[in-house]
Amino acid sequence: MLVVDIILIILIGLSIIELVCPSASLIEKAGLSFLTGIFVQTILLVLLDTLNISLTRLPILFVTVILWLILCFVLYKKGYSFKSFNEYKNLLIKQVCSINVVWLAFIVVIIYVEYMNFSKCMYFPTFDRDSLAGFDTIGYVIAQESNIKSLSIFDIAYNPGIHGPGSYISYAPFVQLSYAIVYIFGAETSKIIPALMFLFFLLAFYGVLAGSIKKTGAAIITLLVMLTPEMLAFSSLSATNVMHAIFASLGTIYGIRWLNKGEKGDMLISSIMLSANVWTRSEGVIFIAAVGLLALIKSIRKHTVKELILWGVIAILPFLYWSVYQRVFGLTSESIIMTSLFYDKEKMDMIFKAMFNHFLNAQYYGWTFKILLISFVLNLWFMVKKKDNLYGFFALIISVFLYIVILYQIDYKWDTINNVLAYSAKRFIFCFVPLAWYYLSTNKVISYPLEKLEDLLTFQIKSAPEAVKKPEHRK
Amino acid sequence: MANHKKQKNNYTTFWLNGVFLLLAFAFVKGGVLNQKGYNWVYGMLKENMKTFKQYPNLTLSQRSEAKMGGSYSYYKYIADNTPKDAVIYIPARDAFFPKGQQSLFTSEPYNKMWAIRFLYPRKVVVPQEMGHSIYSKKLTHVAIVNGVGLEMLPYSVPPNFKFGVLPINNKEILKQTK
Repeated sequence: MLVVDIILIILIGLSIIELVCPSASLIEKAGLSFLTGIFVQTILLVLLDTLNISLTRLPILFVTVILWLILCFVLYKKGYSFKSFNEYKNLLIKQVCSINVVWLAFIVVIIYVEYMNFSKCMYFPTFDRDSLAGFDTIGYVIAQESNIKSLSIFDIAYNPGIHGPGSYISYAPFVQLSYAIVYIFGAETSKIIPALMFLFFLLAFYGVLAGSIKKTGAAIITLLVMLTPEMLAFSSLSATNVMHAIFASLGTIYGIRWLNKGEKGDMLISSIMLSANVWTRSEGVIFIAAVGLLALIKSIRKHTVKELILWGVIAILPFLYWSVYQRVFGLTSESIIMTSLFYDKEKMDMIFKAMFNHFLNAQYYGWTFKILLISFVLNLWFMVKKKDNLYGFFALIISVFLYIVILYQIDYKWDTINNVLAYSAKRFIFCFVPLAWYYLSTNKVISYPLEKLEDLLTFQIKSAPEAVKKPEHRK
Repeated sequence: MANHKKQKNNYTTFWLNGVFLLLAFAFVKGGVLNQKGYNWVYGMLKENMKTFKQYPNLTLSQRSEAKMGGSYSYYKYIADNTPKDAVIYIPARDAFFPKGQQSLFTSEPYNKMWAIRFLYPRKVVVPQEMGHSIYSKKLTHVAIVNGVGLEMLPYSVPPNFKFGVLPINNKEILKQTK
């Protein structure tokens, strides 16, 4: 049954991506399919629970199949048809003709490392503290009690401290609901979720990058993103951080592409991924704010707000629904955010120092932020004179700034500021890792040599088949 | 002529691929894997691979024990020896991790949510909830950790009883022993 549900999740995601962005490459669609599908199925769980429908296999499968059929119908109405066997064959020949050995070598290394990481993830059960004292346990209990809002562990009579500051009752729902799904469908552990999330992220990240800097560069950068030490180590645990980083970074990357190229498909993928990001961790709102601010500036200059409004509505609607659901059913806890402005030099210094030390820590993030700095400096001339990659630069800077503001505005009454800076902030920085690599590699000074490298290494075995009627790939 | 040019280009491309492949190998082996962080994470993955190859047939319970040690085994023991409707008192952190002594436990077995993951559907009550939770008045069992918890029992237990789970009502012991 679990396999059936996973296939349905992938089909739902694939249909949505095909609908919103038909011009995305096959590998992007494949990568985004599971990420979108699992996000949508967790929303379905909340909707079912609102309607007092028991969260068991049958209702979940029923609404998922209905949703998939609706999506298929819309695709059919829009004139979508499956490619013929010949088209697929020609597409494959075209890909094989443009293979080079360096690309192949990097892909082999990526597959090997991911094989090791996936195996590790699946072999060991959930054991990390944050999951057992929160997400995994909530998911497990949801699966046992077939609901969310009336869980025994959310009952104040059983859990007197449940509404205290920082309580897990008010967490964003993605991780615990995705774990609940696999437990409902009979899994012994929830580890299949982080394992598949990272695997599909690699496909999506490679796909989006290959559309910008060609495939050899994309393979090199994907390997470096994947090998980011602390992030790779955490990707096989059940904590929220890597899953959040996946949604946040992809949402921001597609947002940058939308702002650069103005394609509606990118805008819609960005809004879906950013919506999933804030559905995973509420601090993810900073990425919506960063891309939203840049989009607002662009909209004002272009005198058009239609796309911005659509993007904003999709990005925040599920989270708004979750917030109302929490209020209505009493799943709230004491706020930890201070809404009034204040000045505390000591706190500010402490946060800046911790963040600065994190960004410089090569043990955690490898070469990421050092190469980012080098790429930024080398690209300064292009940035100033040719306005190269300005949206990427500002999306990164604004989101880092906003995260620092959040850290500053937190009232540390449930944990110490030192703990939050040392552990939570360190893991939140995972969101900036793929974003940093995307920005630095799409800078003119890096992307140009990478594209030239691709041209140099590509064999002219045979001209690409003419018959391929693939939608024009964006660059 | 065009074919000849294409062949010549492919000949150059072949050599370029060879050169860049060597450079890529040097980059990964000599650069990436020489960096402390990348080297650590790659080494960790390789070590883990060795573990699965060495023990491919471990059950989930055995793998849980390998990762969580005494904490998992202890809760498994409690789950195996209490009814599903039990209300169990779990002692505080100091009982699991006594100061100045080596502990059999890892992670946070004293955390209510942590314990619930392994004891569900049994109810768990922790010390700070005594008097605040309605379940603190309905305790059926006490988890004994390093001898802590014996003071909760209305009957006497030999002082050398260090780890286990005992019913609050000693009639249940008699029932079990019968």
